[in-house]
Amino acid sequence: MREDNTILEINNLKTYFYTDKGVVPAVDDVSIKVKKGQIVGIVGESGCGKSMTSLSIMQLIAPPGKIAGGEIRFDQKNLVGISKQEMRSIRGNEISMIFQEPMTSLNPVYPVGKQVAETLLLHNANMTKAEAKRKVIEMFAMVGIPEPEKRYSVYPHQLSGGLRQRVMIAMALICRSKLLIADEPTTALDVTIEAQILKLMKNLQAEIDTSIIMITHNLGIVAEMCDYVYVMYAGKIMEQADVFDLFDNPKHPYTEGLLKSIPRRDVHQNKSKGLYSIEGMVPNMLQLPRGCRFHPRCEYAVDACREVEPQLVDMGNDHLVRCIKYNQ
Amino acid sequence: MDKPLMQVRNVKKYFPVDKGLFGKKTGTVHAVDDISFDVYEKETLAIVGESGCGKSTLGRTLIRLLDATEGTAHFEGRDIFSLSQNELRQLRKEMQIIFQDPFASLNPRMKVSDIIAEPLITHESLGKKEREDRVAELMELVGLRKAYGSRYPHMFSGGQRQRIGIARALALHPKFIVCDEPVSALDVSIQSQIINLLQKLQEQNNLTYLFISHDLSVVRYFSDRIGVMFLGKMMELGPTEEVYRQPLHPYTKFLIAAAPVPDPRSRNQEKLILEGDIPSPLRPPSGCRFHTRCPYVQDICKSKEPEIQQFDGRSVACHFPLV
Amino acid sequence: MNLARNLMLKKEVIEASDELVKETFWQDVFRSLKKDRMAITGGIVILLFVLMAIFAPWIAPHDPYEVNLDNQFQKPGLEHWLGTDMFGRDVLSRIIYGSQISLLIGLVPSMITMSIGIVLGIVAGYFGRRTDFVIMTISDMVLSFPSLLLAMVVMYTLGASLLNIFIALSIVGWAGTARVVRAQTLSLKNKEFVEAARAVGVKPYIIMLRHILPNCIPQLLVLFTLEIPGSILSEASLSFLGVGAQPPASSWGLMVSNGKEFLFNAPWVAIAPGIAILVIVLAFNFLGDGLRDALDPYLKQ
Repeated sequence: MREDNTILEINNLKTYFYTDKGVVPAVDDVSIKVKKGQIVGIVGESGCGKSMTSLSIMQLIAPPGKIAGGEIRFDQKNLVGISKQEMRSIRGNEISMIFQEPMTSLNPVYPVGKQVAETLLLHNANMTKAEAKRKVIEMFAMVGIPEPEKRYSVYPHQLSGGLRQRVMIAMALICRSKLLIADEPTTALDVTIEAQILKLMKNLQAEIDTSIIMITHNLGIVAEMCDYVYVMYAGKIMEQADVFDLFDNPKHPYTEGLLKSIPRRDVHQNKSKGLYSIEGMVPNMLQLPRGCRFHPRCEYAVDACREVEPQLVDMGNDHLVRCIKYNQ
Repeated sequence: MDKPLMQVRNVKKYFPVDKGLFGKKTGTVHAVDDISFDVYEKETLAIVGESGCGKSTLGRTLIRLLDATEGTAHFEGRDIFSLSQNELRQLRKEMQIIFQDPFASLNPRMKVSDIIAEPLITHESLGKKEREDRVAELMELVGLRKAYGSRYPHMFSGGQRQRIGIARALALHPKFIVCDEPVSALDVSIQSQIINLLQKLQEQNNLTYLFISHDLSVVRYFSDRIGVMFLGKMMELGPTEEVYRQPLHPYTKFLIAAAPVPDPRSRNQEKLILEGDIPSPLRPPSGCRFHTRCPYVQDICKSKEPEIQQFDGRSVACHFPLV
Repeated sequence: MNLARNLMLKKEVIEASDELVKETFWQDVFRSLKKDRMAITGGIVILLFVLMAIFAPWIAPHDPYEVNLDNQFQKPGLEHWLGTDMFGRDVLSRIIYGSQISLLIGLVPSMITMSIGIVLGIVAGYFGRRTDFVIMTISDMVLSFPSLLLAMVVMYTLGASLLNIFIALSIVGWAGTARVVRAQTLSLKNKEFVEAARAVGVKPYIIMLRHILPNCIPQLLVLFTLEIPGSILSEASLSFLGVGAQPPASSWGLMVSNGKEFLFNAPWVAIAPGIAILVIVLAFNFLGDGLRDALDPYLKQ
């Protein structure tokens, strides 16, 4: 692998939350690499640490949370411990983020166009307001907002969920960010709108060559969008692989279980057999099981799984698995 | 097919919108607009659609949590909408509901055993011991340890809470259960557990489900028949497999195609994508309500509302069905 | 096969879920309250105040009603820590006895107003429509009237007595509680657990008692702790204006009122009970604010 191709490299990131009930290792020794122009998926269930990973990249972890270790190299620069000022010039400029609920990240009392223009002006000191407005309207048109001139001066609550998410994407892309982090960007949207937004993101990505980190719980979205995938469980990466490799040949019992347990809209499944399901539930992060974090739910668990924490093992072809089966 | 358990005819549910000064009525939302169908015994009838299509309103109207504006719904021969409060209270034993949000559907100040016991206290005069036994039995049935009875809802995960809600709904041995998005708030690995549980309970207790959902993958797996709603109207109704294999309504076709498939190989296929936004239910389009988004739209669609057409066991409301 | 396997419940897995938060509502509230120094101070002062009221006969150094004109306007000193008033009565003893009236005035009208407000608020919120309109119109009328003036009118009409103070303060106070409870009921009524109860066929009054009222408790608790100092202040104002407690009762408000004429030559007569009022009102406010913070997650739910 050529190093210059890498836009983001997270090494052994640890983001811990020091609550009065104990330490929560929300992100525990996670390493992620994003190449230029790549769409990387981080998939997992609620509380697996996928959102905390993205907030760590943005340096938006609030107390009692803290980055307890590791480094986040963006464009060769370590973001961990960087000054607030420096981070502010990166955030929204070189790295942007879009969230599940666009309403919470838009200010309800300002017109949406003005908000996007502000982002642009903030990072481009010598741009005039008229120029910014023109650029915003251009961007609105690019992300498929109908009647962009009219929408420029509209307030967030006057837009539908889909249009709001388009505004957020416009805001994220207007500074030509090198990296876009999308945290469940379509979860709050209806399916037909979700399809529109996913298509838009894919087209824009191809057009302006941004790298995207796609954080989602939806394996369908992963299959449709991502090039490379990390599967997280209870703060750890359990498996990582090229998307085709992962779906064709899942190696970790958790990945395998997830893939088997989701119903599909494109295939008829015989109901008499029941759906495959992973039993039990996600462990409490304050009292993680010993050994492999997945062992209480794993149907292949052996005694050693209760004792030894398995390491990520390279299976070749950039496919890594954290399971004792492959540890010898 | 078995005989119908519920016959729904021309049901309408309108909500007045009064946002004007002095509470003046400024509009009407036609949340459910002239819908008719049968629900057969022991089947799972899925109602699918996007937000604002009226599927939840329909479910709540059918068990009279909301009062219908017009129409009838006969449940075992009796019209639910014309029952008195007392008669209705008796019928409540037969019809129950399971909710989407496992965090809002349980009273945070009540112990789990009291939540599950509430239907029993309301309808049956059981001794304390008997009631405790029934609660323990119900908890076991849905896969909860009975020792959990003395705990409060916030001590449980989403999946467990959903099990508590299911136990409450089953307490009085209902025949008909409205499942309002019962798994969409749950994690992927928990969804299949709850779906299996619902399936097991249906088989054991001969339940009939009205399964309201926006998840087209779950619906294909779980339902026997499917009804597709759009802005208060039923666009298409038919056996699930047939509808998925060959949708008759353009909306159904695009709705099914929109859901992402967990197979990276399918990404190379050209995807069918509906353009435009869902119109506001306050100002639905004239004629066919779908015409503003329909890729096959003709002039007649803009002015005339389509009649419901029958195709052996299937029905569709479209001027130009995809046959 | 798979279904059978899946539906079998593995004991180990169920056991693994035992770890979730086991704290109850009150434990959680108390834990966050403990961290709030102001609230703790307020709580301690209130506790001392209650003890003082209960044990007044034992701790008061003098008889609060004993008139001794030879002893008029004694400066605070060893014999009379807070001096004596115009009738030579010991100010400290009168303040200690006065705490009984203040406590009574703080608690009784607050409890009456809370009860009335809760009932009317829940009924208005739950049934809506005309019921709501009638109750809320009356409450608006009460709220739009200057409360002290209203209380004074009631006191003049009924005559000055402790019982009538209760009545006057209750007539004035219920409307605020009713508003809060109504708003809370409106948001709870559409919660799914209330819908679930309706779907089961639970009767409306049981829904109100079992599902709505218990979920209003956080709001009511805060309201109650802030209502008490309100009542104490109102009583003091009424007594100061001469329509509240009547002599020889040792109400703090009355003491300030009686002492005001001698403010320049014997300031302690008015200032000492004034400070007592200030301290107790502040204590309740600190506790109320602390409670509000501790209950914050519950208030926002």
